[in-house]
Amino acid sequence: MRVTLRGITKRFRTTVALEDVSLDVGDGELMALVGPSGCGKTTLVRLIAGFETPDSGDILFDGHSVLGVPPERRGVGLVFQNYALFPHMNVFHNVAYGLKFKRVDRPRERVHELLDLVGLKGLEDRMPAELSAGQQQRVALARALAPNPQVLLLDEPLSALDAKLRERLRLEIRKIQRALKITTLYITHDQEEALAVADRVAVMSVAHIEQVGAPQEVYTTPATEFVARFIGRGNLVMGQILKRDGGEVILSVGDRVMRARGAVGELGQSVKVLVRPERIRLNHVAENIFMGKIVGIEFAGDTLWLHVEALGTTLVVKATTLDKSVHEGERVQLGVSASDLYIVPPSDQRSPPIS
Amino acid sequence: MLLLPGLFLILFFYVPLANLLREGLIHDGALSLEFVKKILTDDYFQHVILFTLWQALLSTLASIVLGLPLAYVLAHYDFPLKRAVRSLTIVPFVLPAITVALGFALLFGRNGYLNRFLMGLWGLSEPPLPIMYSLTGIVLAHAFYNAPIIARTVHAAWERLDPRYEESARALGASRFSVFKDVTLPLILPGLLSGAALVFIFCFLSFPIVLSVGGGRFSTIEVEIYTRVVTMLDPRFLNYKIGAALALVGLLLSLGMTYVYLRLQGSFARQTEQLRPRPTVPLFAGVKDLLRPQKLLIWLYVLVSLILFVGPMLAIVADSLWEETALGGRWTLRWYAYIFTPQYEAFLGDSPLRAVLNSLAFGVGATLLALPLGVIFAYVIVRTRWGGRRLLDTLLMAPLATSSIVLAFAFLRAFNAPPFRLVGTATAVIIAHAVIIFPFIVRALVPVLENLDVKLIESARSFGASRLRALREIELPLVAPGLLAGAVFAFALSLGEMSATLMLARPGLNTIPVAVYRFLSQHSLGAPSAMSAVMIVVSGVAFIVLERFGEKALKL
Amino acid sequence: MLRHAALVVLLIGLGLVWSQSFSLAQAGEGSKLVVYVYESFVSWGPAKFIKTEFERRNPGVEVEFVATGPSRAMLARLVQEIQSGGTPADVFLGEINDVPKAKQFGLFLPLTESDVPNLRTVSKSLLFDPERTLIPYEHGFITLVYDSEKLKSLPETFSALTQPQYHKQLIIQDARTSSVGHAFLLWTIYNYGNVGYLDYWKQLLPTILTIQPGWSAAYKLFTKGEAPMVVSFSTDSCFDPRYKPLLLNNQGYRTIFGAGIVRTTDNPKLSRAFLDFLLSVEVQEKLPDTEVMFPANSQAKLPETWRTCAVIPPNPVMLPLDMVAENDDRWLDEWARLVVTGR
Repeated sequence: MRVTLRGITKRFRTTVALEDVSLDVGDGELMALVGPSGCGKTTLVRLIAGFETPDSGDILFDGHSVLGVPPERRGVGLVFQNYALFPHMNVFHNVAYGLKFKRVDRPRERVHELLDLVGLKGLEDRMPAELSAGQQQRVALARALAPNPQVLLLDEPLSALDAKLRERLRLEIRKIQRALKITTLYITHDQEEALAVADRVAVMSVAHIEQVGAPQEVYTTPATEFVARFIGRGNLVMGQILKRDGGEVILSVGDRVMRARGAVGELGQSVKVLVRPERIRLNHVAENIFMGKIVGIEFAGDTLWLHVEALGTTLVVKATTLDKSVHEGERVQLGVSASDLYIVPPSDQRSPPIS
Repeated sequence: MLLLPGLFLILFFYVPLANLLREGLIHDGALSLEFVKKILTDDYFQHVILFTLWQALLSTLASIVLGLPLAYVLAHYDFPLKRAVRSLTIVPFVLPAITVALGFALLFGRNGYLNRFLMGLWGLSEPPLPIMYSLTGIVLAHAFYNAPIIARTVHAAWERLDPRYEESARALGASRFSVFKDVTLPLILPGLLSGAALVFIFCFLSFPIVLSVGGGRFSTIEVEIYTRVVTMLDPRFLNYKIGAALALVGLLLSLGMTYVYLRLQGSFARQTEQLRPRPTVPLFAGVKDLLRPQKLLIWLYVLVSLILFVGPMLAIVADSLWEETALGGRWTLRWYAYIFTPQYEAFLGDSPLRAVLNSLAFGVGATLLALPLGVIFAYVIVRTRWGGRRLLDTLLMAPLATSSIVLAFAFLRAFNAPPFRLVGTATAVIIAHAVIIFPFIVRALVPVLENLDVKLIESARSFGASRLRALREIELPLVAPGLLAGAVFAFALSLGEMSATLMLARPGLNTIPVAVYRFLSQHSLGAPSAMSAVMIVVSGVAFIVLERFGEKALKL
Repeated sequence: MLRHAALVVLLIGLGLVWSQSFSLAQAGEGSKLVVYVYESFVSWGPAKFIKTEFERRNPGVEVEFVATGPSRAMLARLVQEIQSGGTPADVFLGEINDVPKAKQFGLFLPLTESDVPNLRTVSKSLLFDPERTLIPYEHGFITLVYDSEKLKSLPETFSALTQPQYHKQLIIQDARTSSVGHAFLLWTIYNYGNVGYLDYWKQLLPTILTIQPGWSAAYKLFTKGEAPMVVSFSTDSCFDPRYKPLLLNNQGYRTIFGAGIVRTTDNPKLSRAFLDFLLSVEVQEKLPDTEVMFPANSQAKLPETWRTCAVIPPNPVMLPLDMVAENDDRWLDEWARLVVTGR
């Protein structure tokens, strides 16, 4: 099932929740919708599920508009952040609930099959209050999948869980989704989760979508400054375009002249240049070389995050613990290849700064 | 700390009541179950008891059917003046039964507006709706009073219900109806049942409605008590004793129901969750939307409830502005001029304006007296951990299970001699009102106090806040909504109380309901309607002001 | 929290005790005359005139009417108060059928013409009580009253009233709570006998639209057009000519109202003066217009219009009071069983 949103606008009283949003989720694709809280993600889910009606625009399932179709006939599976398991029904009846309204052969088997799928065999008689958060999440998933939905909507499915469990469950969700080949929209405010789980990622800021692309693409070539800041850890430095040289651009950054990739910008224009922490290498020879002073070190097991004063700002640099020699106050030489300096397309005024 | 309020309750409730009920257990100077046995075996009294239960059951069901949609609309939709509408739902509750009976007769009577309208519409010669003077009339009048209670308790439960339960169900393929049946209803059921149990108790104890709307062909336990004790005098006081025995049987039954109610309310309190507010949508969303099937159902409900709830009140207001003349009739304000002429009226004992002031003064006085009582008892109940807690709770709630007419008899009997010669004083009226209303403050507070995290207070105190400061800054703001809700409801009950006030008050101490009653026994027909209209306006304004400014003052 | 709440209770309690002592002090002055009376006397009767005029003639005296129910309820209240510690009542005004009850309890002082000089003006036919504990001050006749604009074919007899054409056409009062309703019950017993009356009532039930607790509620429904017949007084057309009396079997049931002095009164002298004033021509001539009743004082003149509008039934009837005293509780009990259960 292919889900298409065309020019959706939705207002609540005075606030605009979504403005002219278009999105295309391919058949069997897992699309992650990521953005800060309050950006309209949940409204989008509610529109697709049929709980809200757009003020303008259209929602199509396989090319057919579903605007007049009530939620119960859209064939959408839904998992909420708090799971919303029916507190007065046990696990079995929760999962079986959606089967009541479909003609399903041997519904009992179907329930057991699903509980098996999510690894909860044997807990049929438990009440939701007797389950751990992780178990509740799995029941919610099983319940949503039971009636064989054409589309699966996961609204912050893992936000209420601790970090370890979150990582494990997102892999499981991914596995199940692959196995069932079900078109899925996965809502999250956690960009790392989005990158890890999705075929494609749609990044939202307030009321509109900034960029849609494969995780790699969104990470390496963010379409806007908002995406650059929101996805991954990154350094944005100011630069001015001096000249073009083939596919590369020569710019002045701080007191240095550097080479970068990126086709945007006019001569003399000030631009923001993105460089990821792992692309800045210590004592490395590359097209761009500059000096910096280490002002802070964060130890994170296999990784060292260095805060380095350079190019008139403080850069975050990823080093490995193998780089033992670094210590605060030290002056180091940093190297970045031209292909790792990415000129962010000038963003329009809408995107607010991200902290 | 329990000593003072405990003494109050013993002195002004248990002792007088026991003193009255004792009569039903004494035959020829010796303890005997003679009268109780008579009541339980005589087929007439069996009929009365069964009818009492039957009409209470039907009335409760009708209140649910008519109250649930209102709870739904309040929980799901936004519309202009929603808060005011919510506040005004208590107004029916304060109207004296005779006013309601009058309004019902004017609207639903054989010659009432509705029947006349339908007869004209369909060209009938006989009134098509035989509502008045029947069980239907009694049930509808009880629903008029009690459907708002159902609506208010269910609305509270519904608001706390996470909308995502219902959305999950719909996404799973359930129709709106299935969602309601499988998910919403089971989850709001504890709230609904606790409201229903309260309504059942009210209808069980209801007395003037049965007498006026149903008429003498219908008799409930309370009607029977009233007629036996008040009018059927005999030298051996046998009727008085039968009345007392009836009161005893009735009290045991209603105490049993109170126990059920408390259990239900307890499970309701445990279930409440603190969740995000339920999103609401505008009720009026464009012309097209007006005709959707679901909206059509809502409009139908609005029409029915306008007829049932607003209709009788409007009929009274219309009646108060109408004067019959030889030529037919004309609109007039003379009834209002008449009731507000500040002159002595023998039948009132003083001026009608005084009745308005008395009503407000007694209401405020009784509420102020009932508030500390309610707060202390609520604390005691919540903190009691031993097994007999529910029993203690039931005992403290006994005034809820006692009709005001029985309470008035007990007062007349107990406080007519020194050291407490209270009959005929404002004190007696205020104390009686306080006894009648304090259970509602307790009921409103217990769930709130139960949910109140003791750790919150302890942590506040560990930061060095004094007990008083912890009270003011932590407990009070958390308890305030419950306190306000209880106080408003208690005030409403005091405003509407008539049976006990009428029997205890003397001239100079009349309240609005008593004045309505007095005006009604007059030959002129507009004055009671005008006084009832005053009651409707005064209580409506009082509730809007109380809820609005109460919330502001408590910073909710 | 508890301590403060308890303090508030204490303060309010003290306030109440204070306010109570205040009202007690007021009540103890002794120049106040408390009159227990049925509701309609104060509602549209001459109470206002009596109070004003009596207080003007007796400076320093205050008359207080207490009317918390119908005649019977006031009597029960009086009995219960006396039993439980005393009553503030000095004077009692009530209906004649209550006299036997009052006698059983010995509630009132016997009176003579020297106590109440105006007693000698009262028509001898009204002096039902040889001991003169309740002195008649007004009388009238209970009949049916019909709406002349609605009811064209009239039932002339009790048996005609049960015909199907009159189904749901009659509003009556509860015999247990209303003296008018009680009188109507006694009237049927007069015609159908101590036992047979129940059979008659069984046939009458379909005719009855509703049994209201009191006369006023019943009359209001009647004038609002709910039914074209109501149990009321033969003098009603003096109030509104549209409503005319309907004399079943050419009868009317006699109803007499009397005043008595409560045995426990602290103000016997003032009470006697009050009774005398009640029987004075001045007050008696107010009764037709206010109570819509005939005055007991034979010297009182009736209003001109009453010559035509006030109907005196050809056959005024009344059960002997001792018979009422003996059987009343049983009748009321049987009647209530019949109308409530239909059996």
